[in-house]
Amino acid sequence: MIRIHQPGSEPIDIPETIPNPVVVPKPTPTPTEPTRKEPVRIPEKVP
Amino acid sequence: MSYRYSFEDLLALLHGHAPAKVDAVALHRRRVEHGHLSVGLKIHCLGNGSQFSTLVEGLGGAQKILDVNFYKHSRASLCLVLPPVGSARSAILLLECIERFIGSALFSNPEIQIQVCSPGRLGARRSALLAIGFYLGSDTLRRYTLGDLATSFAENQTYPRGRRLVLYDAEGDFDRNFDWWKESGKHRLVEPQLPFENGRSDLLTGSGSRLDIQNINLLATLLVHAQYQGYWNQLGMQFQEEMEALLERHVLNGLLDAPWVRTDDPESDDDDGFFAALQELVAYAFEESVRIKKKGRPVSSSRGILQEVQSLLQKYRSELVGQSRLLDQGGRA
Repeated sequence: MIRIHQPGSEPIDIPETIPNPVVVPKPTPTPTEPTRKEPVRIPEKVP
Repeated sequence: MSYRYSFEDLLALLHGHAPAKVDAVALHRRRVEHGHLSVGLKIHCLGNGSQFSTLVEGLGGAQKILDVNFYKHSRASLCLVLPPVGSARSAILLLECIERFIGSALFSNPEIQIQVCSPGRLGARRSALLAIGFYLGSDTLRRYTLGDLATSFAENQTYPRGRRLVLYDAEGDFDRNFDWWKESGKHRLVEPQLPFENGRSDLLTGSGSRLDIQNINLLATLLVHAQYQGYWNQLGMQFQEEMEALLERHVLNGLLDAPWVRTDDPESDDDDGFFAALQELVAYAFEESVRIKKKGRPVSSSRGILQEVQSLLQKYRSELVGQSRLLDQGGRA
């Protein structure tokens, strides 16, 4: 953040970066990692 | 581009953290998409670099893979050079694999500066178009100081690169083994090697995004093909004309005469001349962004420069891919 301050005035914050207002974020299709499989639960045998 | 480790070792190291993505990179590493240029990457870390230590050790240690490379951002603790890949898609995937491994973000991270490397040195005017196209097409509008663009080669005696967004290579290692689409009469000829023995045009994105990598790859492809008579020569020339006309409409065409890249021409040794042009571009873009925020999205009758550049990039991306698909179907694009 660049801060400009002149005596007698409120400091003005000038951001170093801002989002480009005309760019619509677009998700890029990429391979997804396989989710870990939950171990198979074997129900305990009821005697 | 000096990296003293093998691509296979890097992938083996990353595999445990992102197996599907690593497999995709391994499979398509040399695959060139629609005749685009190959993509090289350098990661400059402005923090202490501790997140990279396991990766660096796994690849052979700092002495072997980092210290061999004299080039880095002047405020960086390390510069990791990645092996080039055939497409922007593979480059993005590779960075995502590294993100998984190191457990922190590489994209849009103010501590990380991504340098995108394209084969072929562009002339001064086309370098200007590369830089301006990147800046206006990015998903982030940035303000710079000249120091943000300082590297260890800024004032190097043999390879002075100045403080610029676009930087030439320093005649290091160069991997030519990527397809190059060449025009032969009315046909496309796919050469197995790039037509340059050496030479790159790199772009220091700062805190970069996936879109930046895609845009730089598209811009560099069009401009390099226009300069070196590649298959996309005609499309590249047309893009250049449209981009120049766009700048003229906004009374910014004078920016193209500034020294956006340090060439062999001694007159290009003018960081201040470049920076004044960059500042003008930045001010124009920020002003435009304020206008859009006040009035909402610009309507088509009074489109601003940011919207125009987005449309232009989209138009040429679609055109290039469309023509390439026609070729695959057996027709002449």
